[in-house]
Amino acid sequence: MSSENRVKTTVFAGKYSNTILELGKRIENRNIFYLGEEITGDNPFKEHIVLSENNWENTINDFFLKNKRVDLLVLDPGVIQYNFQSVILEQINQIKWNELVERPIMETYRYIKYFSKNMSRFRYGRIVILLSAIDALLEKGSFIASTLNYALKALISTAARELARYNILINGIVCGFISYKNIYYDKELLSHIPINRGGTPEELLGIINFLEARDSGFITGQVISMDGGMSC
Amino acid sequence: MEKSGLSGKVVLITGGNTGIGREISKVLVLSGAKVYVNYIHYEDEFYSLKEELKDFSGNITGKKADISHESACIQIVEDIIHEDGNIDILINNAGILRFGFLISTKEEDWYDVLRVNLSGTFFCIKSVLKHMVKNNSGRIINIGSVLSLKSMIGATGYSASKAGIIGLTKALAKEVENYDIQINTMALGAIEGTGLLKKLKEKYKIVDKTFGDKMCTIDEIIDLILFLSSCNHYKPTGRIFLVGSEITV
Repeated sequence: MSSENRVKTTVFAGKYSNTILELGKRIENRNIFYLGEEITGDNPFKEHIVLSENNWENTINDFFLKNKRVDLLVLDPGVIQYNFQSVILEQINQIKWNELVERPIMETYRYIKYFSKNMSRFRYGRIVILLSAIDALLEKGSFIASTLNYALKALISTAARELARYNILINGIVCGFISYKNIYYDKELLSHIPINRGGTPEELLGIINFLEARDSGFITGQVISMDGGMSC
Repeated sequence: MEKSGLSGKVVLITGGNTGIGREISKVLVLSGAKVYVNYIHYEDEFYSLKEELKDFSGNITGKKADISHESACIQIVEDIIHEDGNIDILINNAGILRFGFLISTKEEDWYDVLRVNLSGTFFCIKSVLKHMVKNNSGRIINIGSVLSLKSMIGATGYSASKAGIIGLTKALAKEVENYDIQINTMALGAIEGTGLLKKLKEKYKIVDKTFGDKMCTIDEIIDLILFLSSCNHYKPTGRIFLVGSEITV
C-alpha cells in the first residue's frame, strides 16, 4: 500500500461528550479511536481506551506501539459543556478547582505532548482542540469556562509555534450551540445566535476536515469560531 | 507619595519580596499603605526589604505561605482580617517561569507553573473576595504577561497559566459587578533590567521577537499599580492592561 492509499487514523480524546460521539458516528473510511473516559452508551469507535491518572503514560505508549501512526487528534478538554452550565464560586474549593481547571489543562498538555512526539516521527500531524463559546456568553458563573478557554487558546498558540517545525499543525474550534438529536434550544437562547439556529455536527466536522486538508496547510495556532455569529 | 490615596489601605501582595513584587511593595509602603508581603522562598529578601523600610516597619508584615494551596491562602487572609479587619487591595504578583519545549518539558515543571501562577491566583482571589463583597469595596490586581496574548517558543505552561488569569479576570469581574470591586490584570512585557531576553538567548537558545524592542520599566508598572489601587472616579474592571510592550491585541 502506498502512503497515499494508507488508511488514515483519527483519535478522538478527552471528554466523551455529545460532540465527540456525534463526530465519531460521522467519520468514514479511516481508523477511529477514542481515548479518555469510560464509555457507557453509544460507541462508534473501533477501539476505546480508558486513561486514568495513574496509567496515563503506559497506556498511551502501548497505544502507540499498537497503532504506529496517528494523523489527526481531535480533543475535547471538557470546556464545551460550560456553554450550558454555570458554576457557583463559593462551591469551588481546591479539590473542585483541580478537577475542573487544572486537570483539563494538564490533560490537554499531555495529549499534545504525547501525540506530537508520535506525529513528529512522521513529520506530519494535525491537532484540533474543541473550545467553548463562553467568551460570547460571559456571565456570572462562567469563570471556570473562561479560565479554561483562555488558557487553552494560549496553549494552542504557543504549541503551534513549537510544533510547526515537525509539520504538526494545531488549531482550535470554538463550538457554539450545536444541535444534536436529543438537544433543542429555546427561543431565548436562539435570540443570542444571529443565524437563529444551533450548529450541526456535520458543520463541525466540515471545519475539522478543512483543518486536516492540504488547503489549510498554512494555518496553525488559530481558533475558528463556529457559533452562528454569537461572538460578533 | 501620600496623595495617592493609599494611606491606611491594607494591601496583600503575593511574591512581594523579590523582583517587581519587591518594588511594588516598597512603593505601596512609602505611599502609606499597610502592606502584607506573602512569600515562600527567599525569606532573607523579605527581611532586607523590611530593613530598607525600617522607618515604616509598622507598615510591612511578612506572610510566609505557599499560595498554591487554598488553605494557606485562607489562613493568610483570615490572619490579616483578624489583625486589621479588612483587605482593601490584593495584588496577585507571585509567579514562576520555567522554560522548556512542550515535547521535552517535564510534567512536574509544567504543573508547578500552573499551580502557582493560575491556581494560586484563584485561591487568593476567592479567599479575599468574600470580605470585599461584605465591605462592598476592593481592588484586585493580577500581574499577567503579554505571553498570554502573544506566543513565545518554550513558554507553553507559562503562557497558558497567565492566559487563564485573563479569563478569570474577565469572568470574575462579572461575578462582582454589583459591588464596588474592581478586578484587572496587567499584562507585562519583558521587564527592563531583569536580563530575561539575554537569559533566554544564552541558556535556552531562544531568540524571540515576541516582546519587540521595547522593554517594560518599573516606573510604568508602578504608575499603573498606583492608578488601579486608588482610582476613585474612573473604575475600570475586567480589563487587561498591556504594559511596556509593542504588541497590539
